[in-house]
Amino acid sequence: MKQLLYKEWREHFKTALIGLAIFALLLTLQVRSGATQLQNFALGGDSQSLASWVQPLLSDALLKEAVFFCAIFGALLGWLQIQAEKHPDLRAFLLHRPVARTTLLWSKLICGAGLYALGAGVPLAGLVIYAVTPGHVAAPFEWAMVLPGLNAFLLGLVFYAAGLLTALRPARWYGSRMFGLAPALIAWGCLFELPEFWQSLAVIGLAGAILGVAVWGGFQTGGDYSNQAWPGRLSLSIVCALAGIILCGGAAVILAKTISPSQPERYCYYQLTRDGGVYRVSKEGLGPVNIVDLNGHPLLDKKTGKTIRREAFDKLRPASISTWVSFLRPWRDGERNWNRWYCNRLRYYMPWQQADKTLWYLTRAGRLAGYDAVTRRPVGVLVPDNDSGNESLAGSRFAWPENYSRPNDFESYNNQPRLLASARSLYLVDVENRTVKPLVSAGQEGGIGGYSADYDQDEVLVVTRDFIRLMNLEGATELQITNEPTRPGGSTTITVSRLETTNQFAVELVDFQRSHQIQWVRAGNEIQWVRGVSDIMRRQQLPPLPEIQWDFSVEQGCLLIIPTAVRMSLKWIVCANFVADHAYDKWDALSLIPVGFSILMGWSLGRRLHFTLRDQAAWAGFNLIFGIPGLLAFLSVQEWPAKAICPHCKRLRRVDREHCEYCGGEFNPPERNGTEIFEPLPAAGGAGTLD
Amino acid sequence: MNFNIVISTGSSTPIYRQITEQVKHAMATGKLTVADQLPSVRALAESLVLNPNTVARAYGDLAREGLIESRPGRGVFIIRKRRVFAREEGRRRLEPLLDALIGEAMAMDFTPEELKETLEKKISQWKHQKGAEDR
Amino acid sequence: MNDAPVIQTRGLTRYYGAKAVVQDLNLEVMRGSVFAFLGRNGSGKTTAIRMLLGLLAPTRGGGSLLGCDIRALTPAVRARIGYLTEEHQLYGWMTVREIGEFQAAFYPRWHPKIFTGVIGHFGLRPGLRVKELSRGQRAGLALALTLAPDPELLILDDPALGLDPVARRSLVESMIYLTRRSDRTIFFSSHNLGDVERVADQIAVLDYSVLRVCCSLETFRGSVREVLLRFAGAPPPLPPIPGLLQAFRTDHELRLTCVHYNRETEQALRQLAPVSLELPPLGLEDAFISYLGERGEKSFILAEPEVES
Repeated sequence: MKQLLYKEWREHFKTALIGLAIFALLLTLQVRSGATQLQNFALGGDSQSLASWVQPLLSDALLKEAVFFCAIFGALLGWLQIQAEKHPDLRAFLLHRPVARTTLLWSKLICGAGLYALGAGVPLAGLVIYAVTPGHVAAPFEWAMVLPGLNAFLLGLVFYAAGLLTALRPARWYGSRMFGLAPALIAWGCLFELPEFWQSLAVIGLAGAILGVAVWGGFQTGGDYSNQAWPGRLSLSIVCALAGIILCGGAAVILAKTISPSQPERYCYYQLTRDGGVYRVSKEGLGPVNIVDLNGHPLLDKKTGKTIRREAFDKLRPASISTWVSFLRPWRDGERNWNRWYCNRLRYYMPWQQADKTLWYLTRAGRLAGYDAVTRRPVGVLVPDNDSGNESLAGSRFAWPENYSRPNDFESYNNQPRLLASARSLYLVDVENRTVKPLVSAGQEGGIGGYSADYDQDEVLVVTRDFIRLMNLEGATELQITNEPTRPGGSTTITVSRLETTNQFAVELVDFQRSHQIQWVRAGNEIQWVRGVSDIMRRQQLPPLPEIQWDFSVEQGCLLIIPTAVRMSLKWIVCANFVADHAYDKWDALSLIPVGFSILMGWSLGRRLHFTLRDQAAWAGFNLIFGIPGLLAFLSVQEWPAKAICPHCKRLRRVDREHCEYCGGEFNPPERNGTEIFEPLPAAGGAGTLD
Repeated sequence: MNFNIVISTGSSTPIYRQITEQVKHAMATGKLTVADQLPSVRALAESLVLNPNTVARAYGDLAREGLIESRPGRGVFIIRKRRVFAREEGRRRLEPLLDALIGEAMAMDFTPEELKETLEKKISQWKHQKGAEDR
Repeated sequence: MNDAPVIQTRGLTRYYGAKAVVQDLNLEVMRGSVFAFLGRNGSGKTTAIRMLLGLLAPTRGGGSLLGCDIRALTPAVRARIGYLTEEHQLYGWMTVREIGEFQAAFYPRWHPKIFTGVIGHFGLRPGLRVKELSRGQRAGLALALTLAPDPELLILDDPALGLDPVARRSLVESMIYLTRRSDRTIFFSSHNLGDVERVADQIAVLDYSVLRVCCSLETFRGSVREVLLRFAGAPPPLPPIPGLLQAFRTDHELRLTCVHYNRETEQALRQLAPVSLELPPLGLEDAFISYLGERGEKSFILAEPEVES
């Protein structure tokens, strides 16, 4: 075994070294880009999207390159390990070793993993060391940031298995040989779409396991399908079916994009005007924009006398400030927010502000951490004061602002104080002077629901469980009304608009609810008309808006090719409440038709191949799960043995069975032509009687 | 022993027969006499690069004709001088040589009587020599 | 146990697509024999050997090697079998010493003296890289690797292919050396009939995927006869002769090769009223070429053959 390991290692050592050099170069270039950007900023220059470069472990560009490299390098390594011994005589030399074939495979896998770790792991480890060492990266670091890079590294191992399988398969390049890459590609696709690291780890593990068993099965027989043990055959079929899903899905998407009619614009919403009017704006298809009041009368332009156009109407808007309010903290399962994905920078820190050569971040722990751009070391931390003497943890951290949507940039060109809230209070944070001044206190835990500020207009809107308040940055209140938090499971958008008449405001509350269509839809619309600071003149409930029904029947029709089982599993994984929300629909039922077709086709092909009943049943079950892609897999893996005429019953029968399928007879020995010379062989030879 | 067996492949004579014929020929021309030792089967096979079974068969045939004998522990030995060829075989071999002799004599303008005279002289010499050996 | 065949096949068949490359091969090789496996290029010999060694799955049928089913050769049995391939392909980047160490690690019965002896005989230094070796040197190295574990069964697939005469002779000498022990068996395929004549006990001939000969060398040689018929005028057409291999017709002669020449054959031929009927002796190579050549009657290589029987 040791000799085998030595041989495998030596054989591809050069490849691993070349890979290491290339990867190290790529990573170094990426890191240097970031460092150059940082230097630029430190010298007083511009810093466009500095935030995406400053922590190399989470840089999008670097991660993308890393994933590409790991995938290609892994696949190449796997392919080379098998291809190098493709010559039949060399392969014979290896396979004739007096060791079990599984041992040979293990020696390849162990060395392959080791070489891969050398080529792809060492540069990544170097990157981590670079980021961990203080003085290199002017951004927060926590060990969880290594996870995206680790994921890229592990993905490469799946591609390694795919490379092995591709080299093992005795199929044509333009045919089914590349199917081995399918699970790896699916894992790649999932990798950065899944929220938690353990989930993508599970996907990688599953893809790796399927490919691993297929490689084992293929290695035992040299790529032959029909002689493999059933686990090998099953996993190879699954791999081909996954490839089929990719191909069919891709074809369906292309077809849908080509033939589907373009969806016209459709929308419908309420809009206030400065004089306190409420209008409904809607557009249906290619028609004009309808702007009507609540009684259905269209609004007329005062100047022209005709129905008002959209551009003129928009000029009638009042000045307003709005905020998204949600009291759900922490986020429940099923409430997905892209910002929380493990490979997204915003999960770990948020770029906050720049102040004279210092970069400030809001970390996951809820602190504002400052890093000097020149020395790249931490220089300060800002936390909310303990406002009520209570040393609870929740009070001493800043909460992440929900409105934030700029992951790439610091708030630049402006060192002014900004708002940040903790669980109980709203603070004004000045990073230049390093002060934290409380502005509003909600009194209890989880009190601050949302806040928004217009720093130019010196306006702040803050919503707590008790009140809705409009104020300025010094603390003077302009408006305050009571708030009744919405029903659980929902969020609200609260907009405060200043009307023409002084001291009159319109407070619009729009509730949103999650629906089974996995989107937010409006659930309720209310306007509270306020005079003065807190005098609610009138509450007005607006009639609910019609839901826009988009017609996706063409796309759905094309996607019918995806089998029912796959659709249902995806929906089950993605939807929180699969049954209750009726995530399944008529399209899922219709997708049973292609599934049925593939089962029937598989059955009839099986009859032509004289499958046993057990094989037929197994393939029927497989086609039930995988549908048309399953049929594709059947056609890719199946070998079609030749047929010859049975000497007994004169019907065509397979040549690879001892007994005829029809009459049970055996094949006759080949015909003699009269020139045969046979004689019974003598007993064991020897050197004769004379020696 | 100044006796060498040379075999050639591709000939119409099987190899074992080439060996037996060469041994018999050596015995006839005096290269091998009684009590001379032949190499063992293994040794001869390896020196001629042959399958030992072939050599064994040749030795077996020679032993069956009573020409050689294997003494355990000591080797293979020639045991008696032999009339090389059976009469018929001998005549068959002799005739082409006589034809060649007569043809040569004709070419040199010898008369049949002159040839007969030369032959009779040679035969009496041979008888003389054979008589001396038998004693 | 010594009388069980070391190689045995039952109906071994292999199809490539719709074509049968090996058809219903039934073979038995006894212990201690030197067995030559002959046939034209592309007649399925390498395929059959690969199936025997479990490197290629048979389409149908099976066999056993040293008592072990060829579909499931255990490592213990493989350690007793030496296999020399046609192209002597080895790992180019290894040196001679490294590949010796590589091989030695797998076999419990490794004889370093044999290895160094064969290496030295072919003039190989331990530090040479395999990819720098000539074909003959590589063959010598492969031979050393195969012989040093002292295998009970040696399977050689056209080992002398492309070798110069000296290397070929060394190969044959090694095969003879192996026959020192009566329980060692050699199974080899070759195109070199001189070597086959020297070294083989038994032969088998594969005639385009079908086994047609399996007997001792002498039996084969004795079964194939050449018959020369001379005529006064043009030779008459041939009647169907069982066992006819080839017929060659010239102005006054008819030269036949056939198997199983017996009294009936002679009588049938005498009915053509030839002037003379002779049985000239036939060498092994010519017999083999007749056996495996195109059947039927012809005048010369470029003429159209007419199959009459």
